[in-house]
Amino acid sequence: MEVPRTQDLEKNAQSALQNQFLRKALWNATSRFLGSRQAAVDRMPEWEQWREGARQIKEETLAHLDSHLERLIRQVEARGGVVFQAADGPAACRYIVDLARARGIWSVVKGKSMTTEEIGLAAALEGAGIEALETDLGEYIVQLAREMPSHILAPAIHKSREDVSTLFAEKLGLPAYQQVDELTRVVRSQLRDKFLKAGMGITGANFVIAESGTLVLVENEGNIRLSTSLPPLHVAVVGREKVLPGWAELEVFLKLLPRSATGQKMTSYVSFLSGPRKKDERDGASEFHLVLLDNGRSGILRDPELRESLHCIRCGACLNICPVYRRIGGHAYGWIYPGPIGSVLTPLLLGLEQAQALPFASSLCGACEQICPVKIDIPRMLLALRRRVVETLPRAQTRARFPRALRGAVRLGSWLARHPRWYRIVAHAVAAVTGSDNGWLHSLPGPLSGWTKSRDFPSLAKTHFQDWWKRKKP
Amino acid sequence: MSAASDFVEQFVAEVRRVAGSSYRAHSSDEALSVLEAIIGEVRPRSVILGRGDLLESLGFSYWIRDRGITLLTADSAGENWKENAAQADLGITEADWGFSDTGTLVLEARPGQERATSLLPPVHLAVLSASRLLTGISPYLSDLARRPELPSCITWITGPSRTADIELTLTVGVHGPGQLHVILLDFP
Repeated sequence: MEVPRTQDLEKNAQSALQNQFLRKALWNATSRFLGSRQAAVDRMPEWEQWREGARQIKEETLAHLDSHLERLIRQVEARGGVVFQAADGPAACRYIVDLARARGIWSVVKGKSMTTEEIGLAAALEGAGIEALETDLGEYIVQLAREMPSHILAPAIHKSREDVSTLFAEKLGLPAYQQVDELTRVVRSQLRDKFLKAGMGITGANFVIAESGTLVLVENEGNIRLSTSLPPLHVAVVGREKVLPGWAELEVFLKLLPRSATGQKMTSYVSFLSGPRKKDERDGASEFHLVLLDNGRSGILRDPELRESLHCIRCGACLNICPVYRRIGGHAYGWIYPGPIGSVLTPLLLGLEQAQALPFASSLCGACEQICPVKIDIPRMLLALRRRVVETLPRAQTRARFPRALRGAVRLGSWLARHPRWYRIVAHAVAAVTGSDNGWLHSLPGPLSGWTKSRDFPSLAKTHFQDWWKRKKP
Repeated sequence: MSAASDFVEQFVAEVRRVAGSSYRAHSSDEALSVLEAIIGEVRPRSVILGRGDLLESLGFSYWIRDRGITLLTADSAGENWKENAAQADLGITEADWGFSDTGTLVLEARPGQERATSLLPPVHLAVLSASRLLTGISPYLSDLARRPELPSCITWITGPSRTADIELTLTVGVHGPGQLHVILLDFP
């Protein structure tokens, strides 16, 4: 299948809007996540204090990130772990591929990790002839279909059970199971042997604790536990911004994350890994490597306007509430971080030119900021990025986004707003032509037809507000 | 009702709320009859048993051996621990702590309390002393912060392994145990 690209946002969105199954699945999934989240939040009168507390912890931690990272590295090394600081994705991938080769490893199991998706780690390993299996059920399905995740919590929500059944029959030669529990059992038995034989387990981490060098991993399936418990070597790929100073700071995040994500008070499993297994323990990786990934994060940290995008804990709540994401889904955004936060992160990580369409894929309604468990002001950053697109990219690259007609219309509007007499004349003329009370226009002429191709436009009221006000005024 | 007994009630209810099974036992005999019922239902050919004072005092190992079921421990499995554990039908552990507000078990890895015991078998049975119940994560995290040494792995377990990745249909037992049983031992 063709992999969607960020440059094709409008085209991707168009095809998503025409996919009836996708629209229904998206609506159901996001509604369910939102409903469960709301129920969990309603039981927590402290919720707003938690959000504010979490935001402050993130701000303070990022303000002294280097010293927290130094402490983290000392602690991990003191516990017998190895730390590699990767400047970018290719450096991280190279380190892990080389490590696998040095240990003679040809089979790797992976837990779900947005960070490894970000650097294309599975593809890098496979390019080196090393099998890299996604083991989260949704990720496994998406990998088997050679697609991308469409939601950071539920990577395969764009697929029906029939799709999954057909996929398993095709790729695994299995009977066409129809029941979800049958399909799930198949994956358990397919992967169990892989876990036992893999030479390396790769995961991300939700948090890392500087004071003790501990990795915190939050999950429901148990595949992350398997990936860190069975293979002899565990590699964790973690963005530098994931560090927290200590156990005291962790508590509020462990309360916010599951509730924001799925509405759970607690996920099925939370693992705290402090170094490799100890003497006389029979399982757990005996060798542990922490790959601390920069990949543009230091640049974001130096950018006061966009720094708070590093506060994100990847809960997915802003995707679920976003009126744009809910209609077009994750694939339309063209990269692994979709939704409102993705529209900020992707331009920062891939470059403004390539991802220039994303900051415009928002109505700036503000719902993402209100739902964010760490109070990230996403709309403010989307606006800042829009300004950068206009101010910093050469006109030739943005012309398609701002056609002459639009520029002309904005200029005309701005002129009219400054000339009340003309404003009145034009407004009355337009109302006379199109006006009807509570009416809708089904088609507009010329360059305006783009709007009415897929939706109606509210017509101007027959009675002009200024006239109505004049009559109303005592 | 005392506050302590409130916590016990809450813990038992929360385990059930997350699709686990929970039982209160007021004596060793009651605990053994819960074990008997679970074994009668699971019909395991082999069981892996963790190491712990409570498990020892309950005499679970004798009871299981007497029924002719293969009993596996970290000591007896030797080098093939993982492969052997993967064959077991039931894993039994002694939880170090419990959180009453979420029905969570805390397992701290150490020799004899291996990670696979609560992870590989399709059914996990844990025993927990009521005296080890905490209200929630807060006191536990404060305790961790004060410890001079940490276990290599701490696992919080809340209900069975679950997923909703296909059509948001909740399914248990995707990678970890599909059944979680907790016996809460409430006697002096």
